[in-house]
Amino acid sequence: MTTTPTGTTINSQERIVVAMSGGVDSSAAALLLAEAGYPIVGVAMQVWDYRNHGGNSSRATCCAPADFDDARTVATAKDFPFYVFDFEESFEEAVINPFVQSYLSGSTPNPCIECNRRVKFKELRRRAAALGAQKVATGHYAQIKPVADRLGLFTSHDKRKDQSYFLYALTQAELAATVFPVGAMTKDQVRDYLRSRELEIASKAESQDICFVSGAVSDFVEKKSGVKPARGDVVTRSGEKIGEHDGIHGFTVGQRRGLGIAEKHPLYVLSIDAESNTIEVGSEDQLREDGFALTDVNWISGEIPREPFLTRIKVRYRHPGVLCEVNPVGESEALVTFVEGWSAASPGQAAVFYSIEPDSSGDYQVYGGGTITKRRKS
Amino acid sequence: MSDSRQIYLDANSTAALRPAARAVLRDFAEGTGDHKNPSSVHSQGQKARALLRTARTNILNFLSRGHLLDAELFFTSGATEGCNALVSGFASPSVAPRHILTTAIEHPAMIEAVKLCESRGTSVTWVRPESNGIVDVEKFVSAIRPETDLVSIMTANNESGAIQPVAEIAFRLRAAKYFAPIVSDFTQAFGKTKILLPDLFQSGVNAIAFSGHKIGALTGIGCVVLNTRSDSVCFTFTPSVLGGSQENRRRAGTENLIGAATLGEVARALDSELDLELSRIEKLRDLLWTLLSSSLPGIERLTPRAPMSLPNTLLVRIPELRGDDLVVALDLLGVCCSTGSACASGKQGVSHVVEAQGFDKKTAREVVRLSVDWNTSEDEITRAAQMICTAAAQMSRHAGSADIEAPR
Repeated sequence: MTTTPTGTTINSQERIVVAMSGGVDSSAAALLLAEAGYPIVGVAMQVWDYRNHGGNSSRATCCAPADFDDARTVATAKDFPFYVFDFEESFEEAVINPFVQSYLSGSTPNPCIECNRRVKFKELRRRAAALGAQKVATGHYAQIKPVADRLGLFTSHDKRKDQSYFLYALTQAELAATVFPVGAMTKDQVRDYLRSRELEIASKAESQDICFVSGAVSDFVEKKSGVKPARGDVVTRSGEKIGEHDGIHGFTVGQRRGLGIAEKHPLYVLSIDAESNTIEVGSEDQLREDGFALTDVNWISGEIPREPFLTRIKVRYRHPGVLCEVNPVGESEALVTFVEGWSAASPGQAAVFYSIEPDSSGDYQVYGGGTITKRRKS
Repeated sequence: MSDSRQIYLDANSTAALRPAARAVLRDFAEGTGDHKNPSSVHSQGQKARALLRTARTNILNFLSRGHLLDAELFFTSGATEGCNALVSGFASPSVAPRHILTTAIEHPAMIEAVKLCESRGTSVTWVRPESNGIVDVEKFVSAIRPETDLVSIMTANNESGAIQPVAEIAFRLRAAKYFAPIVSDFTQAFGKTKILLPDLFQSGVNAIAFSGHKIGALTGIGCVVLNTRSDSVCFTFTPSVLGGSQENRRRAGTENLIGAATLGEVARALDSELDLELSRIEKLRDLLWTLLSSSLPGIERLTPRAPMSLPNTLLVRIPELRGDDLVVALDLLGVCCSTGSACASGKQGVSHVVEAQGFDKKTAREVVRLSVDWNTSEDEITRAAQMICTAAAQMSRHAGSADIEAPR
C-alpha cells in the first residue's frame, strides 16, 4: 500500500484507469501514478465526432484526435497501454441533447457538470471494471479526503485552478473509486513536473471552451436542434416593450451586455420566458432576489441534512461564493436563501455548497449542489 | 508494447510479415536488391523493371494457379486506392453514373467512393445480406436496373468472413444481358480462399482490387487486376492517379518496387502451400470456436460455416459484453483482436456489417472479430480461448455490480 499525492491510499498492485484528454493535467495525473508504480491504463474518451458535427477540433480543446495523439505520446514514453473509447452515444444522449433543450427553454446549462455526472465517471468506472481495474483517475483539480466514516470532496490545493465546482454530483461510491493525482498540486508544480520529465506537453495551452462547441453557442443550438429560434420582445418588468431579441437561446439570466438596447442605467436580463418568447430586463436592483430553488440536488455524504444549514454557495464556476441558508426539500430539491450579499442565479447553472471554514490544510469541503430552477422572493 | 508472448488474432487487419517478404526486405536493405526507378532507361533501371515484371507475373500466376487468365495487373498503394479506382475507373468521372448496385457490407474504401457518386446524383442500391452475412443472389440480381452503370460486390467480408456469391451474380447478370461493369473488392479473399480469378473473370467480373499486407507482404502496396478477355474490353478504365506513363498508363507514379517485390515473393511462396495452409488455419479457427462455444454460454457465431466463410475468420457475439471493452480487456491479457471497425483515432464504432445483417445497434456493439494468422499455433489458440473466457468472466462479473449504473 502506498499513498498518492492526494493522500488517497491505493494498493499499488491495483490497476487504475486514467482518463487522459491529452492535456497537461491528465497527462501529469497519468505520469504521477505510473511513476508511483501503479499498473495504469490510459483511456481517452471520444465524446464527439468533430468530423461529422463540427466543433472545436483545434489543439486548444480537450477531445480532438490531435490531443489523443498527445496522450498517446505520454503513454508510449512511459510504456503503459492507452485506448480510445467511444462515448459518443451516451454523451449525445446525456449531455448534448439536454444542453440544446435547456437553451431552447430559456436556461443556461453547464455541460461539463452533466458530463461528469451522467457520462464520464459512470462510463469510466464501468469500463474500468471490465478491464479489472477498481479505480479511475482524472486530472481534475480537486481532492478526496476521509471525513468521519465517509469520503469528502474538497477544493484543490491550487485555489485558482480548483475544479470541485464541476464535481459536486459525485457519489460516495464514485469518490471511493476515484483518484485525483494533481489535486494537491498547483498548476505551476504540474507544469514543472512535466518539464522535468522533458515532455513537450508541459507548455501546452489551457482548454477553456465547451468541447463540442466552436464559435457561438446559439449557432450550435440552432444547428443541432434544427430550430431557428424566433425573434421576440424585450420587455421591462411593467410589461413595456423596449426592443427585440433574435432568440432566447442567446441570453442568460443576469447577463448585462449584449442586449443592444441603449438606456441610461445598465440593463440586466431578469428572466427568460420560453412560452411567450420574451426576455424581461431591468435594473440591477430588480435583478436582486432573496434566493433560488434547486433541483437534482446531490448530497455527497449520501445523507440528506435534516435541518437547514449555512453554507457558502457558488452559483458559477468563477464565483467567489455567497453565504446562504440551504433548506432541503424532499430527496433532491432545496430552497436557498441569501444570508449575506446576493448573486444573480441563472436557471440551468449549478449552485454548489462549500464549507464556510477551510479544514486544517486550508481546503474547503464540498457538501453537494444542485441545478438552479428559479430565482425567488422569500 | 509489441510482445512476442502476445497472441495475434487480427490477421484481417494486417497479417504478420512472411519470411518471403522479410527476405526481400533483407535483399534491399543489404544493397543486393535494385532499388532504382523502373522507368529509367539505364541498366539499373532495367533491373528494377525486371523485378517489377517478376512480381507481376508471380501474383498473376498465384491468382490463376495454372488456369488461363486474360488479365492486366497494375500496382496501387493498397486496397483503398484500388477500390476507389474500381469505382472512379469504371464510373466515368465526367458524367455521374446513373445507378450503382452494391451491398451494404462493403469496406469503407468502397462505400465512401460510391457515396461520393451518390452525392453527385447517382442513385445507389445497397443490398443487405441475409442474417448469415451472405448476400442473396436473387435479391441482388433483381435490384439491377436498365440504367445500372456499375455493380460492386466484395468477394469476402472483412468482419464476418462471409464469402459472397460474386461469380454466380456476375454469371446471372450477364446471362440476363446486363452488361454494366462488375467489380469486386478482393482484399480478404486474396490468399485466404481458393477462389480462382479466371472463374470470376469468366463469369463476367471486370476487375478486382486487393492489398499486400493482408497476406503478409508490406503495407502500401496493392493491385488492381483488369479482365482483358475480348468480351470484357469494351469498358474503358479511366485512371485516377495522373502523371507519368507507368503501369501501362493505368496508374501514374513511380512504382513501390520493394512493396511489389514482397507481394510477388509472398504470392510465389504461397502458390504451392495454399491448400495446406488454408486447411491448417481453418482447423485452428474451428478449434477456437469449439473451445469458446463449449465454455461461454450464449456465445453466438456470426461467421458462416465453411466453405461459405474465410477459413481464418471468427466473428462472435457474447451477449451483454461490449466488443470494444472486450478487445481492450483482451489486449491487457495479451490477445490482439478487434471489433472489426476501428478507425484511425483508435476508437471502435458500431459494426455496419453486423447491423446490415439485421442486428440492432446494441448487438452490433457486442461483437469481436478473431482472425487467425498464417503463423498462429494451436497452443496459441488454446491459450487465447482461455483468456477470452477469463476476460468475459471478469467483465460479466462487473457488469452486474450493483453500484455501477448503466449510463442514462
